[in-house]
Amino acid sequence: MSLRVVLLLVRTYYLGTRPWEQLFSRSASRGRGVETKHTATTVRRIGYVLLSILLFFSFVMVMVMFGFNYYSFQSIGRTLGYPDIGAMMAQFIGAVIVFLFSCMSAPSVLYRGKDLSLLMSVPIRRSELLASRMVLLYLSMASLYFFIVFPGIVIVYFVTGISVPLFLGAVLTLLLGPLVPVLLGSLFGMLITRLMKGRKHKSLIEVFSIIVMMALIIYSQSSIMRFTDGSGLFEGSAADDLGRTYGALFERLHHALPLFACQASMLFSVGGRLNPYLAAAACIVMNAVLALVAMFLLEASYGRCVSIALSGEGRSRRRETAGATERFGDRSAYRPASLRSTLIRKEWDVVRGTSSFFVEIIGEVCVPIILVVVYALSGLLGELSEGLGALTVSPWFPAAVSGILLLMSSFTMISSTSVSREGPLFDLCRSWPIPASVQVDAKLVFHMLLMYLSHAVYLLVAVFLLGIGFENLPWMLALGFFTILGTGALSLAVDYRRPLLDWKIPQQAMKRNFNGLIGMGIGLLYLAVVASAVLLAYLAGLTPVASMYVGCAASAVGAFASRKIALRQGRSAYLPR
Amino acid sequence: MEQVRESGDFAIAFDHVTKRYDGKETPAVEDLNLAIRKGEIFGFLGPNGAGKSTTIRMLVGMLRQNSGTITADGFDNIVSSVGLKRCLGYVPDEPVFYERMSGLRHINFICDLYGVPQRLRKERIGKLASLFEMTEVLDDPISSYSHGMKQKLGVIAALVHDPMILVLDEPMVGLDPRSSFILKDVMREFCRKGRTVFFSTHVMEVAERLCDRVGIISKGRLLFEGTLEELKLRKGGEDATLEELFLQMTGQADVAGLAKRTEEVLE
Ligand SMILES: Nc1ncnc2c1ncn2[C@@H]1O[C@H](COP(=O)(O)OP(=O)(O)O)[C@@H](O)[C@H]1O
Ligand SMILES: [Mg+2]
Repeated sequence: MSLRVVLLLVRTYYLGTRPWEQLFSRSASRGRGVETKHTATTVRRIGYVLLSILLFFSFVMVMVMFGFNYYSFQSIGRTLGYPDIGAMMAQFIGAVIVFLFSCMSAPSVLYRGKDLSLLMSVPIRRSELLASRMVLLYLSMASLYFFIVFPGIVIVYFVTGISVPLFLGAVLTLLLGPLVPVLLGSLFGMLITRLMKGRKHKSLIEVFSIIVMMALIIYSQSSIMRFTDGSGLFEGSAADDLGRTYGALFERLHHALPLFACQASMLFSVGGRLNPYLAAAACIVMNAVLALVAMFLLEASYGRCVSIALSGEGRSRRRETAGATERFGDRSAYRPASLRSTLIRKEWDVVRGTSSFFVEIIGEVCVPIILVVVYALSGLLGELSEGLGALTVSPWFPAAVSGILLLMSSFTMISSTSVSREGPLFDLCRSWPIPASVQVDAKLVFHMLLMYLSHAVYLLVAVFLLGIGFENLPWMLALGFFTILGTGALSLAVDYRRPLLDWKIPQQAMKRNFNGLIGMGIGLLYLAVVASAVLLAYLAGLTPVASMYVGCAASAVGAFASRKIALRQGRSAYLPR
Repeated sequence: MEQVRESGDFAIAFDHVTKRYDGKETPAVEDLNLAIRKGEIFGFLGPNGAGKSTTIRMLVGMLRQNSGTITADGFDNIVSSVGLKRCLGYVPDEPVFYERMSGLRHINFICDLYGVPQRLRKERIGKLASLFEMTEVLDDPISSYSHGMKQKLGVIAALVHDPMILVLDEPMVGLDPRSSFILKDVMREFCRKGRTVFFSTHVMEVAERLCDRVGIISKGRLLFEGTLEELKLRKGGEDATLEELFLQMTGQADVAGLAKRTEEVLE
């Protein structure tokens, strides 16, 4: 195996895909506008800069939140006799999340890359190709690991001060920490690929791991909230209980997973359980052994997995399609469908056709479920419902429930990336003799089917569970309808105005699409406007319920206007240009 | 051209059409005047980058010209683009599909969009599929098709709603000889009922066999419009092949020079 070839492959990959430029490519490609649009371009640039700063700060904020979380564990742990629990927690969470992400992306990075058919045809060794793919996977995961674990290292600094072991340990943690989860994730991905023989269960695994991961994050967040909202910080029995629970858990992990024990200990110059230098040496040895074994296993089956991925795709999809849809010669195959239902089905096809779209959208629809499950698991729900008694009698309680659910449903990119998702196929849509209004409405109906139907279900469940009077249901349903329609239409207008159609990988069209962020911002603004209408009505002397109807009316007007805007933008997008 | 226009018997008309892409100095198509009669096969010839696809994308109502007007079957490409699209069957140069659909479902989808009644569907799809030898693979997902199969699927989808005008952008690219023969036959048959074919190509042999009239475009400007006989007469060479004429007209006539350069490069 030649290191030179591996590095060449890695470098070529980055040169060929330019993952960083993709984020900002739109601002760059828009740069060559005509003179007259100069100010518009400047404004847009400033917008991009502001958005980037915003993104950066939200990243930092999340890291600070992680840090607080680890710090509180660290403090409790000290008093209870688990001196390195904060660091260990950070490394453990980082490892689990990196493992889940690796499981998700290992098969596509290792076996399914678009460039593989090219690379398989040039004279390089299997091992070199595999190593280069592993480096790519490692690099993408290392940044994620850094994001999660770095706050934990900072926490150790607060506890012990700067020291040689901390410095060494930090470097080792950040370098070696992602290695084991990436390797394990790759092994898992390899097993899945071999067992499933390339069948498309990928999206299922993705959905599963996303749910587990969100649960994990929110669980750790909520557990920390539970003992910071008491009388004082980290006092009282709740904190101790939690500390003991986690302490016991990590004590067990300490024995079961010596790697984590070593990793945590090597950061502590004083107060750790093992000698930091010994721990570091043990850590390096364990990583090396694991890496050798894993690489051996991965290499042994690499060729086979790639060929499964390359050939299995077509065959399995064939079976899937044939099962799901009409067959030639089958009479029912020619049953005509109405224009609108055909177009809505097409929207669904676009989403279903790409697993990353599918996962994203399922996640968005299920946000309230995930939250409820997590809070129920953490026991927070029980405590909340105890305290709820006082709240439920408040006349504003139904409004608050409705508002919270609407808030959750405004975190969606379904409409704000609806046109972008079509990518090169948008040209196909433009060549059909279908009035723009029909196509715009189909997208809106699709949005409503996903977001409003789920919202209505959540409302009904909430009304039942929380004992809200049924007389509130009409305005709740109406408010949801108009607000979701309004935000959906405005988001759609944004995407019609400047769709991102020339994406190469699907993540660009949804997750990394600025239109998606703008759409969420619009959703929040819309809610704020409706809320202020309600407030004004209340201040003008109406009852809370009457004020909510005023809010409905305001939202209805907004939805009507928004749809007009979406139609106008849509029309100009479908016209020749 | 003027006679055609005055007789009112044309299917497609370009009238002083100019298209300039954003940020480009030279127009991709400049002052194009062209009329295509009903019932003829019109070949639009030109080297790579001449502006053929640009012209076609304007004609099918996807690009907007900077000036001039385009009508097809009486519909303006901007004012009534929906009506225009309804009477056109368009096969793009690089057909794109919803790849997870089966070929059959794609065609049915197109039928839904164009409102083809159910009783006509099965017959038409069956006939077209067997004509293009696609019956076997129609149930397979489009992602498993080869380039040529996608091309043929695009042609079937363009024909299934029984358009008045068939517009094809370099349709022979990627087709095997047999399929390309079938397609040429289909184009001829299509015109026999008074309908019109407008297609672009840079393959001279195709144009020579197929076209009633041709237009030659280079660097965005129309250099010639007329029958092949007229072209030969005008250039004086009775027995010149179309390829020679084409190279002559588009300023690439120094064939000997080209051959010499090739020799040098590949040495
Ligand atoms: N989307 C576009 N943006 C800018 N320039 C374009 C675009 N599409 C085509 N062009 C330019 O227009 C000219 C004509 O292109 P095209 O119509 O595709 O040629 P042809 O189809 O005859 O090969 C070329 O010079 C090409 O570079
Ligand atoms: Mg072209």
